[in-house]
Amino acid sequence: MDTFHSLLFGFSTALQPIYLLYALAGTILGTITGVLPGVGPLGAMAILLSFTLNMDAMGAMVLFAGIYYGAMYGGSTTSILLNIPGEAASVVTCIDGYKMAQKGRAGAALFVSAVGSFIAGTIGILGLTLAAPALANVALMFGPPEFLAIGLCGLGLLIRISKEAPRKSFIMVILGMAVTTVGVDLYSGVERFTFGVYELGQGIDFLPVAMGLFGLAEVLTNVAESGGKQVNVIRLKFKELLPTREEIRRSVAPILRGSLIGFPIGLIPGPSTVISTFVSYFTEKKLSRHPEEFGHGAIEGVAGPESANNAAVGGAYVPLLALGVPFTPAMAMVLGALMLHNVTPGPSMISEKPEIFWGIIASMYIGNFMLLILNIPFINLFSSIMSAPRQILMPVIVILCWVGVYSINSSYVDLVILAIFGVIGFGIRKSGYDPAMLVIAMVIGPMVEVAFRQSLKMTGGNIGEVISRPICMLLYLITTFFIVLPLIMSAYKVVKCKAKSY
Amino acid sequence: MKRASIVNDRIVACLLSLFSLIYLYGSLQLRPGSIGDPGPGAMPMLISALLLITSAVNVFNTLRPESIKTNADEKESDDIAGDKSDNRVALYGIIACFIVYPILLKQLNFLLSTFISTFIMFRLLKFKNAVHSLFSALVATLLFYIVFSRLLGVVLPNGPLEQLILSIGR
Repeated sequence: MDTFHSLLFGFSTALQPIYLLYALAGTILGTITGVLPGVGPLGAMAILLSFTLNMDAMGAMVLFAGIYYGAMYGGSTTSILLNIPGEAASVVTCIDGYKMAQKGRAGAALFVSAVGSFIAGTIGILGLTLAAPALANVALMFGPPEFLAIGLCGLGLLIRISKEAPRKSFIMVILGMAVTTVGVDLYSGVERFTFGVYELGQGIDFLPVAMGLFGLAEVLTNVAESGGKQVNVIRLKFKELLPTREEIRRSVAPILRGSLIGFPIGLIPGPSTVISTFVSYFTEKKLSRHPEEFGHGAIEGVAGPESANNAAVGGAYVPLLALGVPFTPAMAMVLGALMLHNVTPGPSMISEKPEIFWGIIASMYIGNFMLLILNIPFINLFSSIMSAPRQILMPVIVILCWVGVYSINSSYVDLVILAIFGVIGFGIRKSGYDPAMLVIAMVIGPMVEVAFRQSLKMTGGNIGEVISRPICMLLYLITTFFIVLPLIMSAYKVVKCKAKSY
Repeated sequence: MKRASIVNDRIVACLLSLFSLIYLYGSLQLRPGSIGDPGPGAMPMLISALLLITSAVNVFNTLRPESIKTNADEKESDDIAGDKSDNRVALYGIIACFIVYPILLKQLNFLLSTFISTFIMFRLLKFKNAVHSLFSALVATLLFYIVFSRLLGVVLPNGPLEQLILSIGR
């Protein structure tokens, strides 16, 4: 089946009434949760993942895609109306979005953000539609050594690109992999680190860890820092939602450029959505006829980054669906959701479960469209959630986490794990450790161990043979280049400075 | 760097080192296998070696003299600590709720345990007064139970109280 007919097949699945309902529910739930300051898409996805448990795999993915897009838009709303970024990728939107709000142009900023996100999201999904099957065909040639290389190189690049100190990111990755070794070893049946606890024989589930590190840790951080302070939300009239002709004219090119910038950046490991927003912002500033307006409410400063952000999401889905490897924390959540429903993304998914693969892609188009229809008229409703008392919101999030975690395996041990990781997540945040690295490592770790053991078995322990296969060698060389190059550049700068001072 | 932050960094670094030692001990109990046939202990040993080395470097980094700055920052952090003492009570109380909740859930089933925990959290966060907190905790608990148990089909710990709620409207 060619791509176009495959996509039609996906739409025929995704357009069933029940899945349309899930898409709508996902976008609403995602926007509501994403609007909560500090929670962000990652926290929203962690908290709401449990909603998908009793659904079939397709329904769960449709709901989850809606939650992701909705949460991202919710994060933008807090940036514009409150100057509080809902997530790291919304930081840039705060710069000019909030300034526009202060000038009475909040509605225009939100409208352009919504439309730009829709257009860029559509372009990103189009890119995903074309790139994912192509990459999956290449990946059919991959064996255990190649998957080992992808896992190790992906983790290596993530550590290098992480905003925190590489040493701390490395520790988080190793800790994440350590967590995945708990349970019964698949090959030998030996129990590892279970300490006689029966429930730990199944391993430590992804969901309690993710909910603890993002959901409960966020609650604790909020309690420790804010002391229940209320926020004042800018209220909007419906008439104020529409931008002027001039604002629309100035937004078109940034939206298109942002889309083209965001998608390829989304393909690379690391905080691709964050990187794409900064690249787009500085590009627009360079190209703008009014660069002096940037930082004071330039519409291009909202349109470009928001579009790049959404296009990068489409790009980030490509390695996940085609290779089964998540390169961002959000994709790790999506992979966690897929695994909870016994769906293993990767090159075989397209051939073995085409209805799910193409259904997911089709549902992303639908979810993106629903977001556009929902969010513009209901901006005031969603933004009013922000003014709900923190003393109500925090316990509600906690109960959501408790119920969500218990619903996986009806296990009290999972609740203990949730509590432990909630406290760990709170503690490590203050010391500059990024919990997202632990989550990604938890998802990639099992693949790395399986690939490691299979590679050594098939080569009789010949590590040289494992590394020197062409695709592996290429991946290791590229990764080494990107890790070592910044170190060489900074050493060169130090030497140059010293030479100048002499 | 504020003093509280330095102390926090050291605590985290020491706890990580302790965990790496425990993990190393656990991995030594497992069979590593051979290079051509890695056993269940192969990956844990590799992980524990890496963890031990990096956590040792981490501890060393937090103890370096350059990581310590003094006095003007200390005074500022003391002032801030005074204002946040109420937050600390709420913080530790909520952490205690997290830890105790699984035990309560097992003994008292969903409604009672969730109601008690939610009420305590409302009071710790100083939500209005005790009556409001009581009523809100009751409403929140019932709402969650009905939505998750009835509408979404999630199996939650059931007792006589839960059976009574479920039987209403059937």
